[in-house]
Amino acid sequence: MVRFLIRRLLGGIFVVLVVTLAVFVLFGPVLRWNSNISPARLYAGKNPSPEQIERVSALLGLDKPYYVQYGYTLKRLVLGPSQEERERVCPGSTAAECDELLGRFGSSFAKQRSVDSLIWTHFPVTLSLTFVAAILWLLISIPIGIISAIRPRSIFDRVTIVFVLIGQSLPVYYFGLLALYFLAYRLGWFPLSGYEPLSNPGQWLYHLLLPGLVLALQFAAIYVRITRSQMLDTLSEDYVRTARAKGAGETRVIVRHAFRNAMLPIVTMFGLDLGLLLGGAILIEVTFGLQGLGWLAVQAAQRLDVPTTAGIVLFSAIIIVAANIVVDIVNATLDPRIRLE
Amino acid sequence: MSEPILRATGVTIGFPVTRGIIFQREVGRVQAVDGVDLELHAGETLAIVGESGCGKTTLARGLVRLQSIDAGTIEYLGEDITRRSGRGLTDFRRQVTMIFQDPIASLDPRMRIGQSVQEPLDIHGIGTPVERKRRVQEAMERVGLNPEHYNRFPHEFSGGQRQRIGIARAVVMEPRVIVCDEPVSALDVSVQAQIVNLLEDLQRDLGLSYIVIAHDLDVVRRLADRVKVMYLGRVVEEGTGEQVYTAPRHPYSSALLAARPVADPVRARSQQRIVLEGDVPSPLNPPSGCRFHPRCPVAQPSCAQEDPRLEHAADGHGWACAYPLEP
Repeated sequence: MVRFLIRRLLGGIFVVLVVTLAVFVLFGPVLRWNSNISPARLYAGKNPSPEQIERVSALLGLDKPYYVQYGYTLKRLVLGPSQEERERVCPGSTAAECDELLGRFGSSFAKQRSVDSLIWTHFPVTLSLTFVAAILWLLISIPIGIISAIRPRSIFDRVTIVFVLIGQSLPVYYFGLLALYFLAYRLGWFPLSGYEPLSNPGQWLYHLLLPGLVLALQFAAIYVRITRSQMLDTLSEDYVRTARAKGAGETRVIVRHAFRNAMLPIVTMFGLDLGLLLGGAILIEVTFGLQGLGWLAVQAAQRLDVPTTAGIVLFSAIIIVAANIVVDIVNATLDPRIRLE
Repeated sequence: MSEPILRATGVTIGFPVTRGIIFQREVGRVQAVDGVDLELHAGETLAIVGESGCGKTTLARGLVRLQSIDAGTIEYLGEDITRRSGRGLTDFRRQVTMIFQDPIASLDPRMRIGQSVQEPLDIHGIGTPVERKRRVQEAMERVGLNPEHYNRFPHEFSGGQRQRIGIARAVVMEPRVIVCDEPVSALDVSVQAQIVNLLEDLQRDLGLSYIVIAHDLDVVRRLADRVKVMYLGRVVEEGTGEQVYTAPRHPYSSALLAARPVADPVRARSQQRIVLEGDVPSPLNPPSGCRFHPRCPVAQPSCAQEDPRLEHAADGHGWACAYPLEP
C-alpha cells in the first residue's frame, strides 16, 4: 500500500511536471511568437515607452533565456517566492500582506494580487457548487438507474431513457438560462445570481440550488445510463443467482450483491468527474454569475492575464491528478480483487 | 418404495420469443422443458444428462423455483410448492439448495467467503451470530477447507477450492436435497475426482439426496443411482445407471454413450461409433412426431408422425421410442 502510494505520487508529480512545461511553453514562447504578446508590455500599463517595457522585462526576469525562466517558475512553484523577490516587491510589509501580492503561481497582471490568493478566493465557490451538484446528481441518478435496471424495457425505463437523452443533449448554458428565466425570474423561487459564503448555510444552499440542479441534471443523465447498464450486468451474474438460491429477498439481492458490485465503475467515474469539475465549471459559473474558478479563468483569459490563466490551468491539472490517485485508492478498498502492490 | 422427497409432474418451462423494440409482442414460445416427470427418493442420486440446449439446466432451476414454471407441479415431501411464495418459498429453499457450474462466477467477489457461506443462515435467521459462525466453520471443515480462511475473498482460491466453497454454502443449511448443476464440468480433471468424492462422502455422512445435471457421462456413471436422458426438453430414456449404460434402448442414449471418449486406444478403435448428423433442432420449432427422428439412425417413416410416449418395462427402465434398440 505504501509502496503503491509512493509510486503513484511520483507518477503524479511527473504528470504535473509535464503540465508545467506545457503551460510554460504555451503561455510564454508560443504566445509571444504567435501573437506577439509580450508579458512585459502587458504588465507595463497603457501606452508604455520602450524604456518602460525594458525595465519591466528586467524586473520580471523576461530578458533571461527561456530555460532560466522555466527553472525559476518551477523553483517558485515548489519553494514559494524567494526572499529576494519578497524584499523587492513588498518591502516593509508583513508576510501575510506580501502573500497577497506574491505566490507560487506568480502574480496577476490585471490585479495587484498573487494568483494564489485569487485561486483561494474563488475556489470555495467552485467547491461548493461541485459539492451540491454531486450530491444532487447521485441522489437523482442512482435510484432511477437501479429501478430502470430492475424493470428493463418497462414504461418507467423507456421514459427514463428519453429524459436521459434530453438531459445529455441540452447544453447547460441553454438549459441554465431557461431555468433562470422561468424559475428565478418569472416565478422568483431562486435568486438570479451570486454566491453566499458557507458562513450562512441557508443562503449558501439557496444560491447554489438552481445552478447545482442544472449541473446535476446534465451529469445525472450520464450516471443513470451507467448505473442502469452496470446493474443489468451484475443482475445477470451467477453470484446474484446464487444469492437468490440462498433464499435472499429481492432487496438484499439488489443492495448487497448487485449494487455493491455495480458501484465500482460508478465510483471511478464519479471521482474523475469531481476532479474535472473542481477545476472550474466554466459554462455554469458564467451562466449563473458564480465567481468560481471557471469564471475567474474566463475573466483572466479575456484580460490577457497570462499568469492567472496559466495558474488556473496548472491548479486544475493538480486536482485532476490528485483525483485519479484518490480513485485508485478508493477502488482498491472497495474491490478486494484489486491489489495495490 | 417409500414416498419420494421431491416429485415433479409434467413440468413445462418456456421462454417467450419477442419481436419489436418499442411495442413488443410475443411471437412464440421456446419450450425448454416439456412435460418432465421425476421422483427423487431419500439418499439417492438422480442424474439428468443430455447435450447442450436440451433443457437440463432450465429443469434444475425450475426444480428449486429459480425459474417460473408454466405447467406441472413440484411437490416436496408431498406438499405442492409450485405456487409458493414469500415465507413458504424461503422455507423450501432451506431444504433444497443448489450447487452451480461456474464456481468463480457464482461467488460474490466482494464478499468474504465466510460471509458468503453464512449468508443463507443470516437470511433464514438461524441461530445466534456465534452459532452461525461455528456452523460455517464446521461446513468449511467438512468440505475440506481451512476454517481459518473464513475472512478471505473468493479470488484468493483455486477453482477446486471455490467449488468447495459453493458446496459448503449448499450444506451449511443442512438441506435434504442438493441440486448440482454441472458440479464439476468447469474444473480440471484432476480436481473433478476430488469433488466427486467429496459429494459422495457428504451424501453418506449427511444422508443427502442429489439431483445431478451433467453432460459428462463418466461422472454421472460414478455418482448416479438413476439416470434420465433428455433431448429437446423431454425425457427420452430413464432407468438405473446399469440399465441405461449397458443396455440403452433409445437410439439417442446409445449415440450419446458411443460418443464417450475411451481411454484405451485398442478398445476405442474396436468400438462402434454412431455419429449423429446435424445439430439439435430449434426448440422454437420442434420436429413433428418423434423429436429425434431427423437425426435418428434407425428412424422409420412413421416416426415423423407419431410422437412416442415414455413406456416402462417391468424393471422400471423406460424409453420413448417406437423402434427401441435390442438390449
